[in-house]
Amino acid sequence: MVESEIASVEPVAKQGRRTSRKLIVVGLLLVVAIGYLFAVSIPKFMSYYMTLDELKAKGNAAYNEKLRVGARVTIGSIEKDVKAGTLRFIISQGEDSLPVVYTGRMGQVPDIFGDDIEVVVEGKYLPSGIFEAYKIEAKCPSKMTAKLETAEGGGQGGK
Amino acid sequence: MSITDVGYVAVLLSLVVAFYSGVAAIVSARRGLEELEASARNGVFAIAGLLSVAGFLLFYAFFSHDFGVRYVYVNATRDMPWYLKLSAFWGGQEGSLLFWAWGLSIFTAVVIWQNLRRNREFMPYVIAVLMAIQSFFLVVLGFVSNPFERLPFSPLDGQGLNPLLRDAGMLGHPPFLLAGYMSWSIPFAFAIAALLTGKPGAEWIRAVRHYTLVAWAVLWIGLLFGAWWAYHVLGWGGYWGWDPVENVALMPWLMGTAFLHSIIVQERRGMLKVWNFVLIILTFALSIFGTFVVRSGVLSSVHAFAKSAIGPLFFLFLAVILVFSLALLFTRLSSLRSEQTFDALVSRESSFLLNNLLLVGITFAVFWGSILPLVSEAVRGVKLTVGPPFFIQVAGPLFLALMLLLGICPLLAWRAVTWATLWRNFRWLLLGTLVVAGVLPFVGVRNPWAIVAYSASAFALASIILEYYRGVRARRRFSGEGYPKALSTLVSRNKRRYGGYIIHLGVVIMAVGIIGSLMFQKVREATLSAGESMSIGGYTITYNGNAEVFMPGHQMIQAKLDVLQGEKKVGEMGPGKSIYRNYENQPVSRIAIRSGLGEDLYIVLAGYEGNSLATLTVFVNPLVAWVWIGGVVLLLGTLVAGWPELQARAVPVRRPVRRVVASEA
Ligand code: HEM
Repeated sequence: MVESEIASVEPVAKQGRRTSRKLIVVGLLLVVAIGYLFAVSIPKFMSYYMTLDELKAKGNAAYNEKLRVGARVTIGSIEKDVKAGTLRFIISQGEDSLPVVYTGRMGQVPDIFGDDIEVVVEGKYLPSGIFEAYKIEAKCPSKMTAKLETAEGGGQGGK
Repeated sequence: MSITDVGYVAVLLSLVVAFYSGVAAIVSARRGLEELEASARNGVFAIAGLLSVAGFLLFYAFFSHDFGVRYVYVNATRDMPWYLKLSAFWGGQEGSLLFWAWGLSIFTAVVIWQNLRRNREFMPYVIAVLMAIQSFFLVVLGFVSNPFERLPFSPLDGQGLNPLLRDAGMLGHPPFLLAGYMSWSIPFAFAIAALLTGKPGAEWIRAVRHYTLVAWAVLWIGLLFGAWWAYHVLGWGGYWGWDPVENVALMPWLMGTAFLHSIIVQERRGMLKVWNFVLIILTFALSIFGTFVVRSGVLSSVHAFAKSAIGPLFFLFLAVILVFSLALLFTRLSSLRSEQTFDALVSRESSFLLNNLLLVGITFAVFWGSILPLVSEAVRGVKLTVGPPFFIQVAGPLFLALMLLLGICPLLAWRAVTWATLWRNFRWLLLGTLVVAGVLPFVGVRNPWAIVAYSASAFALASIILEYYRGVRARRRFSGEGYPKALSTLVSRNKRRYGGYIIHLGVVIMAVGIIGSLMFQKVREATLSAGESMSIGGYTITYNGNAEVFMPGHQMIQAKLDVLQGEKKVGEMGPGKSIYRNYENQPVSRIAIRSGLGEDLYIVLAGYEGNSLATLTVFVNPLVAWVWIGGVVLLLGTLVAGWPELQARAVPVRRPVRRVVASEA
């Protein structure tokens, strides 16, 4: 009796192990599939993020790559023509500045976009020295916080 | 000393008590000192009281216009309506953290109360873990980010919440999100208690299921409110932008969904024990990550928060959590052997495993996509970023697979399937799916991916219906009840199972909405002079000039529009921009939306000049309503699945009946 029990248990355990092995294979396949999706999608959809000075330092090498560039909107540089539906402005950081032409939809320009706002423009740097942006992201300014903190003489202020 | 200083004192006292209760709880467990444990418990209740005092005082500071409190000064103005004053509480970092700690103190007290007689062995350790978490937040509140900090002077009026945050949506989204993150502390604490007591079996799993459902549902409400808010306020025409703040909230939810399923396997079959610990540890870690990461300034987001000093502290906390819990788990591995093995490749448990792998896979995809800038900078010195198309391409197919699995899973028996039985049910689903796939092209759905995605949804839907049908039929045969009665008895006797299926129904309904709005959105932008019109998707929109509307604290420019669908006038719409005092150069879009079950007409005033020129961005978003409907169905299902067993006492009598119903699967 005891013998037969053992005999009947063994194949079950073996079968269990075989099933586990199959499941591991399935799991690995899934991991490979996810890895594949990643490997294909990253080059297709990535863009390089850089600050304006990094872009300038790169020079020609930056032309025609998909880029996201962060800097501040130069005060007084915004030329918006509602009728023609065009938006041009200059972004700057320290000594560097870059003219930007926006080609996206006006409805997608963030509300807070404006003078002296920190923005990230996404698009291409053209050999003509102009940045053609199809997307603008703006950082929410916690301006009031910043003002308060300078008034107190402390803190680096908000972003 | 002002009354609000009492709030600060309450925070500091809570910290002292939390420390005491944590230590007392452990000592009581080690030495078996019941009275000491009772004292630790009282500490927990005291903290709930103290932090409630602190919380109400902060509300009081807002409502009594105490602008001498820096946090109130920054986030409120005198003329803000009441609901904005309420939501200003969590408008900034200090208040959000206080809300977290306050919520945790109350939830902890409730858990202790409910477990006065249950889970006795775990409770001291549960208290200790929760007090450790609480202490961290209290240290931050007490010494780094104090909401009660006073200015050296008392201004007459405050600056006010950032205009983007001035919306009734702020009432719902942040508190639920924060409460959702916070609630994962409870199952985590039980998990650690189970490891510490050396009882990592099924007890803790049974103890945490309800708390897990609560955390999961609360986080879900936060996500849903967030999506709703983005759609109705932010004005880019969608409800999910794959921004880091959104992603970090989605991750613990996905991981938690995996956990909710895998604990079923452990309960039924005694397997996946280690996996369950790993899942809950990671879910909690992701919640902490979600609470802080955006504020730490490590990931940049469009929803910028002021960078703050708590970044390093939080990473330290996160590291401690992960190292401690995983190390503890490692030392207990020998007691965590599976009681069973997988019997067959195709079975209920293996489908749960696959469900877990997919959910964890999606979580990792979202995680890596979100932190890619950090990783690529560290590895290659360049910051790579990816946007929504990346997430859609990676997560899309995985969600599709999940949807198919959701359809197949209920058909599979535990341990091993008999192919004949499987086929008997499966063929109906296949038939239904093929019919849908065949009909779709004739109703205008020609995009192959949309056909695949909708067919998968149909498959899952058919499976849920079949599952209900089979249950009701069996019930009727057994008891002779009518359909409605049979249905209600079926659900109330198997709340977990049929509640789960309602949740799945919600998922499928949402999928229908998401696929529709993702793949069939129409957009047009036009600049119009008064009297001109534009058309899109069967609508004709006539622009009749701008109007100015004055409201307390702000002023709104509104474009007056007449909307025709075909020839018929369906209404007037007035998208606008609000301009707030103190924030004159930061106008806020007021979107106009005409919602319907079929589609939404969504209009943004993108720009204007004078009284008779406006740029309109118009979206036609198909099926968006179903995203919200599905989201609510999911919640209702969670309510059903988690509804407490009130007739527990009647069980002995009814047991035979239950058996029969439960085994019909
Ligand atoms: C995003 C997709 C999904 C979500 C949000 C989801 C959510 C849930 C939730 C919250 C429950 C209730 C659990 C409880 O009451 O303890 C549940 C139950 C269930 N889920 Fe899912 N689920 C999803 C996908 C799946 C998939 C792919 C499968 C297939 C493996 C599955 C199989 C089940 C089963 C069988 C139940 C009933 C449990 C029982 O019989 O007690 N779910 N689901």
